[in-house]
Amino acid sequence: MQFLLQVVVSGLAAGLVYGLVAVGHSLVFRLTGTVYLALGDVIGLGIFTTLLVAAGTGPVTQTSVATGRFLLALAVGVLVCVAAGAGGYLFAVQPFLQRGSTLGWVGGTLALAFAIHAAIESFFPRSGYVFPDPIPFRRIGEAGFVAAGDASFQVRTIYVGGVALVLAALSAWAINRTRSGRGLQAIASEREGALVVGVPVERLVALAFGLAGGVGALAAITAAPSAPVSADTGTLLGVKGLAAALLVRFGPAWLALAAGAAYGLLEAAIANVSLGDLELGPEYSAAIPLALVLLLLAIRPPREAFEDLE
Amino acid sequence: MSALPAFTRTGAAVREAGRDARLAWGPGAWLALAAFALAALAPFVLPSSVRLDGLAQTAYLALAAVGLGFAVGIGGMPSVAQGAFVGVGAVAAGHLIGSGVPPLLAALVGALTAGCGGVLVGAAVVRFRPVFVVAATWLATWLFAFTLEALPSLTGGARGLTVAPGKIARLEPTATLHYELALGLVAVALLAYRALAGSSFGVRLRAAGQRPAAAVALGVEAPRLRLAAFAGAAAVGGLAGGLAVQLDGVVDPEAYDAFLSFTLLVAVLIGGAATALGPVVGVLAVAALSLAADVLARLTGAESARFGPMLAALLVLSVLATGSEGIVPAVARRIRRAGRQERDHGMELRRPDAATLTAGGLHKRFGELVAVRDVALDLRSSSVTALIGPNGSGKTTVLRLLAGTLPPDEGSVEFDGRPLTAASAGDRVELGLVRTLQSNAVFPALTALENALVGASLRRRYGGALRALLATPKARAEARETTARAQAALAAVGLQERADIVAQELTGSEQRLLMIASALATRPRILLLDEPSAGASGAELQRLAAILERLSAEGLAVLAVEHNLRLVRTVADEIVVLHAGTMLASGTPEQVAGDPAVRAAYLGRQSL
Amino acid sequence: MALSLLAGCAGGDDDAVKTLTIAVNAPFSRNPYVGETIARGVELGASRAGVIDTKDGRYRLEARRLDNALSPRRAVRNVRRAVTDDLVAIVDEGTGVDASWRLAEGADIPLAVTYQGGVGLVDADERPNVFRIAPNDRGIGYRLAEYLIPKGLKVALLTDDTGYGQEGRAMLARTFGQNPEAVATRVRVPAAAPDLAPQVLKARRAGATALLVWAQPATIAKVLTAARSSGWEVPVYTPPSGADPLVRQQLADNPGWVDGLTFASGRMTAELGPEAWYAFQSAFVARYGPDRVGVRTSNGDEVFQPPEYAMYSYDFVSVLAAALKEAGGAEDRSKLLDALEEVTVEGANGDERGFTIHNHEGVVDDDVYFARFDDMTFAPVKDDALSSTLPTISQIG
Repeated sequence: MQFLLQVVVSGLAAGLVYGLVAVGHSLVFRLTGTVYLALGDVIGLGIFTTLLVAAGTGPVTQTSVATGRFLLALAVGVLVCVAAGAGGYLFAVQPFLQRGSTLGWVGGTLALAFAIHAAIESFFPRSGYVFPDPIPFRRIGEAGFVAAGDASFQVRTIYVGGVALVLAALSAWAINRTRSGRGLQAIASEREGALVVGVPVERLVALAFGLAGGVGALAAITAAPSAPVSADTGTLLGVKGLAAALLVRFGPAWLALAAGAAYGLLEAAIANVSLGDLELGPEYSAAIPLALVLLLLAIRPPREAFEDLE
Repeated sequence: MSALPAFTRTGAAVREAGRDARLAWGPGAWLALAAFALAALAPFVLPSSVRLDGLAQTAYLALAAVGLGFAVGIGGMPSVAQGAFVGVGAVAAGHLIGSGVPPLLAALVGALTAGCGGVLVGAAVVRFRPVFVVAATWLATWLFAFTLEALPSLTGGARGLTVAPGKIARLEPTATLHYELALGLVAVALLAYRALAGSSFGVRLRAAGQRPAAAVALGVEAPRLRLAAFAGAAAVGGLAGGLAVQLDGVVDPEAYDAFLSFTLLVAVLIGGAATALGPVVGVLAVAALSLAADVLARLTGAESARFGPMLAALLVLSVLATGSEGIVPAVARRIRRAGRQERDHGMELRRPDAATLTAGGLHKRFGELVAVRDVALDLRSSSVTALIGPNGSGKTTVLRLLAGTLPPDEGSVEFDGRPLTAASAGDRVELGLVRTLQSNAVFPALTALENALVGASLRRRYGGALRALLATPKARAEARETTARAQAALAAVGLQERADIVAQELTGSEQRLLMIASALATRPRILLLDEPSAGASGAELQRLAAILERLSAEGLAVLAVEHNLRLVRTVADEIVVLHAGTMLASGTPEQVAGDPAVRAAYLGRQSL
Repeated sequence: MALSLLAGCAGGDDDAVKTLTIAVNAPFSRNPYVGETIARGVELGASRAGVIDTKDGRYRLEARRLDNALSPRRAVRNVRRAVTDDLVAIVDEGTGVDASWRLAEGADIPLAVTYQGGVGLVDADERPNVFRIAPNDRGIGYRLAEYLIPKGLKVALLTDDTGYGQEGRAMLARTFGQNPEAVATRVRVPAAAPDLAPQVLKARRAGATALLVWAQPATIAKVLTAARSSGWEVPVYTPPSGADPLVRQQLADNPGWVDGLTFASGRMTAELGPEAWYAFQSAFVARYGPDRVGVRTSNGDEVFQPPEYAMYSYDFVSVLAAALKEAGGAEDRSKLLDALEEVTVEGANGDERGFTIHNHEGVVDDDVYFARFDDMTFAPVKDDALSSTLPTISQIG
């Protein structure tokens, strides 16, 4: 039972971050009909910019960064992330959308993704970097861990889950209640109409791209101190977030969040749980959920996926 | 004894093939041969400091890129999974060689395995819109990477699976041999690309990629064609992987990751997607970038393993930002000649057989809105029926019901007495029921002749990719006949002089005529036209009227949804008036003109 | 006097010093710590060897860095390049050797592994040009078994899903195979998972009284975190990866959790005494500066990492220089290769280093000692015969 609790807590924490990335992917798709293949790496850029400003490229420990500097680093990181996200739209997606060239935006977003990845790797080439933790979780329980019977889990995973939920709620509020958000909704449903009505389409869409990156980065940075980060951290978040988004056909925010959470839970379950003799083991925890998503996509494709034959 | 006639037939076929080849040989072919010879001699003249294994790897990359180029440029599927297929071929071949299978055979089996993988993935994605193809293949690439991580037995763990080099066709597997082998395969792949792209297989694929709806309306079975293209591209990638891994000497799981898929796609993009040479030029450009990155790295003292991707990605971004469609098309446009070849206008379109289309009691609702209510129609050969009515009266819906693309809520549509309900679009076109679309749904990047070829290829029996590739005598004969039929279709609408013009460069009304020509090329018995006169001026309207009259005189049953009453009056044998989904009147033009209800509801200032 | 001067000048032209290049095939981009350590050892060894006088002429050695980015394919390409450029030897981190050794053998180029310990890499009969100066997995695996089993512990064997972990899993299966009662359970651990509490819990439930974690440093840190945070004071043992700075960096907020971590590694100081090692360390630090771990002791002193792996590559260069002299030069490469099996030199720490025709392992299998962390620095343990004789190497100041 405690095992299950452990799996649920750690799976949810990871899964809610995936979910936020999935929300970003959904938003981008519904606004532009494209897949933002660079979203993961933009988030990675945010993570490592924060790390760079907070601690440089040298060895860092979780406590070696003052809170003030960390907050500055966080602000810079998120800002860079939003700028990269918006810039990605303006340079790598929008010109090709105008021209109707699918290959164009695919190539553009992929190129952006790999360029960012390579840039991160050139500064941070090792396979794992410690991320500073500004919040003194270690003061809670036993150095940040809470025991529930035999099992124990990090308090910060609950914190991460909470932050992710708050971010999701904020995004939903922003989309439904603010003027820009409603503008975005208008663009999603009828782009031409929105233009006619006077909605600043390009500006809003760029903003949306930027925010998709920014919100994802915030969530990822919140989760980062739990484990060493590498240049691949962001990329993998993007891939898993896309899988979750595809699962719910790029649906509404809460659905994408739920899909991400489910994905994370499945991953945690496969990595940890053994039912008697059957033990899948951690190696499969990345492959199997993705395979299932692709299988589902093949067997029950969403209607949006099909070509417009009329 | 009985072998003699077969022998002479084969001999005649071979001579004929030789004649065709000599006719097709031109300055372009000489240039290609010279380039090939130069490339083949390169290892023997270049200084020894040039890394031959690097050249060979580049050549294998080019092979995989050509395969991808076909799927992307001709098949219209932006696949980001080619790197994974290269990996499948490499892993399969690596294991087989480890078990003692001869190297060439192992590579071929690797290609086959990759092809099967292509079928598996392709089966899912061929019906998808391009954006979903991208998403699905991107995830598939990562799934491959995760699977390699999960099953270290496949790749020998992080150490990598060693592939002991074996003799290829009794020759020592040096870097030079691999280079020549790769070069030869690239040449074969380029020839195959050209052969397929121009064949009816390729034309239909390109049409489906440009205007899926229109292609389906002409009976093109896009999913099946695309699957063949996708699986073929995967197999070619697998072949490249299976051979390149022998040069590498080790199966390295990291070599077949998303970055390889990206590199291949970028090569296709930079070089130009819909051309055969494009991927090769793209790979050369990428190789040049890597070299530049190496030099830069050495100059600045940074780690070369990191610089390459960054440089390549940045340069690609700039290439894309400048908006070029690729190096090869841009160059080709500079040196394009307006080559008009002699056309044989001899063939006339055959008279269609008689057919009837009867519809009764048609009802169709969209949610709350009743679009069509109790509509009945009777189409007969050698007649032109016009369907008129104000905007929103349900004309297009009726057309879709008649064409069978929309199932009626009530009522039936019968073709020659048989209900149409279960037939797919392709089946209906084969039966002889064809419909044109309302918008300008020509295939913009195809020439007028190729547009017509899309329709003409419907009835090919020997039109498959394999036969096109091998250029069997039957395939070639059928191709000639199909081309003649396409030319005749163009002639029937008066576009025979414009056969080699790319469709998007035709005028609007020419494009509409082209749509009719494509439909005619399928040998229809019943033709459903959606607003053929839209945007046409006086002279063009006369031309259109003459065409419609001639078509009906030749036995076709034509139904035209129309706004232009003058045309309708000139051409139509029967008019059906629709208003708010119901039939207001039907009959000869005189009868309809005299109907008071019609006058009241519809005519207003216009008069028949 | 003028005549003798002239005579001297005339003779001088024949004494041009030829430069022989040693390739250093290591992950400079992916794991710069390992790459740089190996390369610096080679460079230090080359500069110490200076000008080597042989029958065929005078030689100088230099290092050339080739990045393998931990990719076997790139490693093979680097070896191919070394062969084309006619380099004299390859000092290798170990990635891709299974595929690359043959290429080097075809040109009679010796390939020395100075980091990875996988046993299949070196085989004096099958792979006559492959050598190793580094502790190998078999030695570490057997010594670990030898050390732990008599303690009467029930050990949980945790290995991760990296190549290193997989090799370790196989080796531990062998070395603990004869004593199944000493093994509580075997657990495979995902290297990418953020939190290893479930796996550690599994070990605890199986009744483990000790943990043997054969995994990458990041995994070791996570295991320690999981165990200590739930209040489980189980002793943790590791192979040399436990000494990697990353472990201490990850746990810098809880230095108490690192206390008691015990790792097995190759003996750094000689049996005769630590003076030679200290001399080597001083020379290394003088040239390259100290290697900061990034943590401090409870007194606030900065902790530094001793250049252990640099010693191994340094020693190979010494052996190579001696072999050059023995073979009379680098003209006949096969003779040079044979000479490598005939010479013996004094290593950086004072031990003898050499190969024989049947043994290409420069470090004796069981020349492995155990060290225990206390206050972020490590010292040899007292309850092992070999380790108790070794001095503690200073890691501060």
